[in-house]
Amino acid sequence: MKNGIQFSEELLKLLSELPGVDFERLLESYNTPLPESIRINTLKTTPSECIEMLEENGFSLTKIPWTRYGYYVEPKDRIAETLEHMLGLVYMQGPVSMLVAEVLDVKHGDRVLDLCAAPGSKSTQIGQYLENSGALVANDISYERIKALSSNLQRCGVVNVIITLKDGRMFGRRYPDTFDKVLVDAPCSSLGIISRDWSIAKRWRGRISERMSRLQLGLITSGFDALKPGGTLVYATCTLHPLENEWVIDQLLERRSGKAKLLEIKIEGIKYSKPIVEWNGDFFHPEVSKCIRIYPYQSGAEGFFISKITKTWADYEA
Amino acid sequence: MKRERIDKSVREKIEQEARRVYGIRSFFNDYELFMSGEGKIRATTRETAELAEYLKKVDSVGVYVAKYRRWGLTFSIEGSQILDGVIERNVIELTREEAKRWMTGAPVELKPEHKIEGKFVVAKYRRFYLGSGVMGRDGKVYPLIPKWRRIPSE
Repeated sequence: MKNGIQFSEELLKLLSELPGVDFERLLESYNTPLPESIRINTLKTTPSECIEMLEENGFSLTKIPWTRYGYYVEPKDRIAETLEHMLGLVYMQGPVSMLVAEVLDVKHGDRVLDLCAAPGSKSTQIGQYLENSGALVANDISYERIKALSSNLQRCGVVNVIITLKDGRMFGRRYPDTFDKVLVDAPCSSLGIISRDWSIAKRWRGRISERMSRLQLGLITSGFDALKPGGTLVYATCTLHPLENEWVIDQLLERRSGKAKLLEIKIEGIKYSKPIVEWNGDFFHPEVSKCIRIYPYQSGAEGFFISKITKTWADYEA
Repeated sequence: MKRERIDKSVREKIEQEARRVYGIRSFFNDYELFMSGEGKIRATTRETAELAEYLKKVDSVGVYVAKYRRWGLTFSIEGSQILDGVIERNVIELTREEAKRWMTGAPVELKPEHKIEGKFVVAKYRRFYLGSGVMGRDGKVYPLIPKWRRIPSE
């Protein structure tokens, strides 16, 4: 028990052994409530108009430095029941979650696939950046979760969207070389967001991460195959286990050797760490060093792993 | 989800109704329209509609913009927002308090300055449309806000 959170011995061992992690600060950050943050939806309003409306109604907003339209909002727990939220002028989203779609760097007219889209935080953000040009395919495997995805895309007014109900691992085989951008925001063990839900720490077992990593590898491989040559794929998780992060990238590089290439991630306004290069005596592919890790004590919010990959023209030029 | 592209003759019929009730002359002209069951109309872009033809296991396309039944044409919040600038009749302007009330699903009183013909209106707060409502016999307007979209009443 650490300040109210129940950690299994297995989890404490894992966290204390993660290279480069400030263990004490990590445990402390898990006890700190996450800030409340919103993204202003420019499909419906402008930042100045929306800020004025919210301030008139007693809210105070502070810009999140690493996002284009993200703001911390106070007081907490009130925004979800405002007119602005229900009309889709704002979307409640974690500050680091917003960074993932920023890294994807969507351009006007892009054809984008969000492979694990529900509940739609990043899909609505991608839709916002597309400004209803191009097309967005928002996929999820769960019918229940698709309801939330559909509601959120509706509320945000994303017109150029197709919602598909499909196992994400099938996309690459069925639709090869189709999308300019692919987001694989993979299901994970969520060790980066324990402060949001303490039960994650209690439930976690090593075998959960092992099982997740196989699923994640299937998803990233499928997403990569669905990517056009020259396109960009972002793989992200909100967990800290190297098996669900660096190992997945390492395995993709092996499976798609010569085609998959990591890209440098350049972001400003947030501290982040280098990835883990060696785990349990195995060294990952040198390209993996281009990924980034954001720990909760660096962001003051969620912890994330983010990687950016491109598909080279290697096979196509031959 | 059922999805049928709306053919020209049906679209013309809906456009006539939109013109008659709301004075709309340009009815989702830049969009492809689909009927998705229970008279629900969804709108999307041409490029998206073309991509949807190519994909399997499509659950839905675009956003829900309107509902067309024998007894009338009503707009969703997003439908009325897309039609910003082309709705010329049966618009009621609300204060913030009224708009919040509308979004709880509760009726709002019609004011003398509201010029309404027929039984359907579209509400507006500042420059934001809030979808359609139906005139009640008691002189109040009843919003057609789906339950999932409602602000919980205090």
